[in-house]
Amino acid sequence: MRFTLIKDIKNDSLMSPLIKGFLIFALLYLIADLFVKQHGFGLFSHAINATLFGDEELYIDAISEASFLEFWHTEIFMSMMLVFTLGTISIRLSEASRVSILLVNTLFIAAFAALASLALAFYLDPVFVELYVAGYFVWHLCALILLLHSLVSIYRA
Amino acid sequence: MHRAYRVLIIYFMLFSLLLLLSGAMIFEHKIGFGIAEVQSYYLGDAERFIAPKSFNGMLKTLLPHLFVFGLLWFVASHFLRFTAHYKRAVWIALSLFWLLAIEALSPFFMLVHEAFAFLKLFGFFGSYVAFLAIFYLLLCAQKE
Repeated sequence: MRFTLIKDIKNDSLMSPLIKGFLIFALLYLIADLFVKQHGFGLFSHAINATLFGDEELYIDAISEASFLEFWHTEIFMSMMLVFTLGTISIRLSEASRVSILLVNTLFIAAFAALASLALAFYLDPVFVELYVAGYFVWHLCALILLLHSLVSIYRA
Repeated sequence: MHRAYRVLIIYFMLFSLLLLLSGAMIFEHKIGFGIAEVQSYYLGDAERFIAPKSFNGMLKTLLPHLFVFGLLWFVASHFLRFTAHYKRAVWIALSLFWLLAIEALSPFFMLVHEAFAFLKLFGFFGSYVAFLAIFYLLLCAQKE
């Protein structure tokens, strides 16, 4: 959080390359996350439903509660750390512009809704899978926009 | 502090609460909240066909948790620096540090004696109380 205290962060000889590096890693993580989800848990509701509740036609067993909880627990931590760090950097680089604050708020709310609805889908009603999918793609899209905007603004400085 | 950062702290608390909730659900599902259940989970129970946890297995669980505990403790506690009561809040942050250390390392103490199972529960519930206390102080600071 030290970077929140440095005045001209975009032209700071140490902080500027550090933030660029972080943003590039975060971008790679976001892209890799899509591929990993596609090949494992599922990206869209049909595949996620099959993972969570099984599919007799495809001979897929439902995920166990222990495995689900471990997956959910890990997802919460990874997502919160990414959106939190990205949100802080974006607000700092955009000097808290209205658009960036709106995007950061959407990022947090969508990520939280996605994570919460995943558990609601598993324990309450499969219909929450649709909310999870919507939240997942909204927060990934917001994160992507914030990442690219931050990268452009720091390279232009 | 800029208003945007205050909002970020609230979001951080919401995500942390969700993380704590999922942690409690895993604990309840896999181990259980009784001393006998903690002993059975780590040391095994022939009557319930539960195999004891191996030293390597415990290390594999410990490894990511050490990093996550450290990071979460640091991030949550360092926000107290921006509150008016931060000098008085130091003891909560330090208590949380030791409670998290006890929670993480107590399974290894159980290898010495099964009575140390109470330390696992003490560390678990104590760290939750300390986290909630920090979040309460941060919420109070939002009104200042």
